[in-house]
Amino acid sequence: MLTVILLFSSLITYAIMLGTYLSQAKYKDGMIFAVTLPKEAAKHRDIERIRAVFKKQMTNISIVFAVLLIPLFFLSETFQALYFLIWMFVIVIGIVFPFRRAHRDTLALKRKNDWFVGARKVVQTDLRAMMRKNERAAPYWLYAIPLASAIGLTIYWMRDGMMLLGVTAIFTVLLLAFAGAAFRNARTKVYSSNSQLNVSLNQASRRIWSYTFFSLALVEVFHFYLIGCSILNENAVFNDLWIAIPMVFTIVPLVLILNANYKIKRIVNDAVASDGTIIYSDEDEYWGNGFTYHNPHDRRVFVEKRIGVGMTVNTGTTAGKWFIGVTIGIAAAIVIGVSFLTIYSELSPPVLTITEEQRVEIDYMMYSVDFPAEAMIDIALVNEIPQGWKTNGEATDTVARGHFRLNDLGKSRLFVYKNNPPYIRIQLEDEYIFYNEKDPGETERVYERLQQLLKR
Amino acid sequence: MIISLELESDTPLYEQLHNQIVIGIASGRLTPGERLPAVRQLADDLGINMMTVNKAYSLLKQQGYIVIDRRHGAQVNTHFDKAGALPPALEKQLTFIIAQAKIRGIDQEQFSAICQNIFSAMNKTP
Repeated sequence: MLTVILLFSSLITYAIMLGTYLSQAKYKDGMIFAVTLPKEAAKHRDIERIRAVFKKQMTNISIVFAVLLIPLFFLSETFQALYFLIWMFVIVIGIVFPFRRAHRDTLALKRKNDWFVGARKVVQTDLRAMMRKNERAAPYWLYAIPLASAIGLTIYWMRDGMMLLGVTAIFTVLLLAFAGAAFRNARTKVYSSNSQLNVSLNQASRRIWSYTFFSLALVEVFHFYLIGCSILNENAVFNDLWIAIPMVFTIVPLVLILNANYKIKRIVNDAVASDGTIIYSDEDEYWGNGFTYHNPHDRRVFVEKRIGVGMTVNTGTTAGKWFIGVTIGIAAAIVIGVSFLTIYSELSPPVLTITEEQRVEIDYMMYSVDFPAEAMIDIALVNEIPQGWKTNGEATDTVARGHFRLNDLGKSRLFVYKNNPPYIRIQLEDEYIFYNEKDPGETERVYERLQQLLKR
Repeated sequence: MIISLELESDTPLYEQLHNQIVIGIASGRLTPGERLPAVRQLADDLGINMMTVNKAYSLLKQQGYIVIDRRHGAQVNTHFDKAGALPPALEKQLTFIIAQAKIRGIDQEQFSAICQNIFSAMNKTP
């Protein structure tokens, strides 16, 4: 099951990477391999050569990374996740090498042949477009709708112990609102010398993007709702359906974004084709690697990407440097943290002890629990655990530890080795606890001790 | 109307901005009463220092090309003194230009022709 999810993720990664970088081999938006060139230069023989080398390298690298996925099928779930994270890390860095090489070679060729385009070191804007560019953009107050919904969901889920899911939804809405605002405040784009055209094109692109981000906020709140329903679903019959629905739903945001990008490109191309004069400026020196922007003289923290869809960070600004640093820091912390926890959990499993004060203590990382003997309403030795969902904890193909919601039983804590009966089931007032040891004989001995505790 | 500033030119940025706005008003690309962006917005959009834009706007305001008030921001002036006489400062600048042209061998007729071309370019619809 995990293998399927990881393969699906790797497929998405492939599609995005290949789609973004392969399309740079064509003459687009006045550039090839993110180097601004005049149209005639694009057909030059040396450029053809660079293109051929690029295509070959991309093919080779794609095959290598596909082959590197094969070990996934042979690893246990714990190590699959770790391996996949490493694979992602390597592919993101590695798949860019052919492009960077092509970019460097094209840039050298441009300098050698003096193929400069437009004016260098010129800044431009259109006054009228600047004043009117946000006239048709989605107003900020619209975000109150998804925000209120997310807050409502959080409150609604509090009694089911799923507040964290709601908080994540709120955070997502705020993140999308922030992204929408960044697009709104982006620089006025000068498409042509016709001011009317600049006004209408700037308005159109902002209108499309701002409503796209708003739609994304609505869609994602609904997505979180679906995920919540999956977890709360206690009817085993619908389990598979509830797994499939949220997964399929991930396509919706992707479609919305690609659609917005496509619509804007089409509107701009139609308008500019009928008008004729596009204004290009040569900013190659700030786009060092082709796709990274470094300009200490530019105050903007976010700038429109040169290749691909969306915005990228200006590493020349202090805020930009922080943004990159914090993002990488968080990513590294998560990967290192999860790896550490994974290994730690292998080495020190849960332990159930009965203390002198007649308390039962189960000690395991941050999922420890303890309660007095009287809190136990019922205990039993069972051979099966009902199906359910993890709300907070770890669940692999060998163990299940943490907070879960089980069919028919509801809130439960599990500290079990899966497929290893018997399991001790303890019923408390507001939740169930399942516990077992790696050795079934040991499980039975623990059960006997608990039974004796109850008798007293 | 498009503003285009050369970062490495000998002419300072505020002067380029000032001159382009004046030419914009003369050629009709900026209409009387038309709103201009706020100092900060224009500076951000062009990626130049706010003080530069401020200097250009102050100069324009001083010379009566634009008005700035707290509520409506900056606007092109609605009413220019159409007395039809060239202020002394401008006449001095013109003397200097004509002198340089004359040294380069441009006579009165040629100079008038050049002036005519410039005038008709400004009268063309934007």
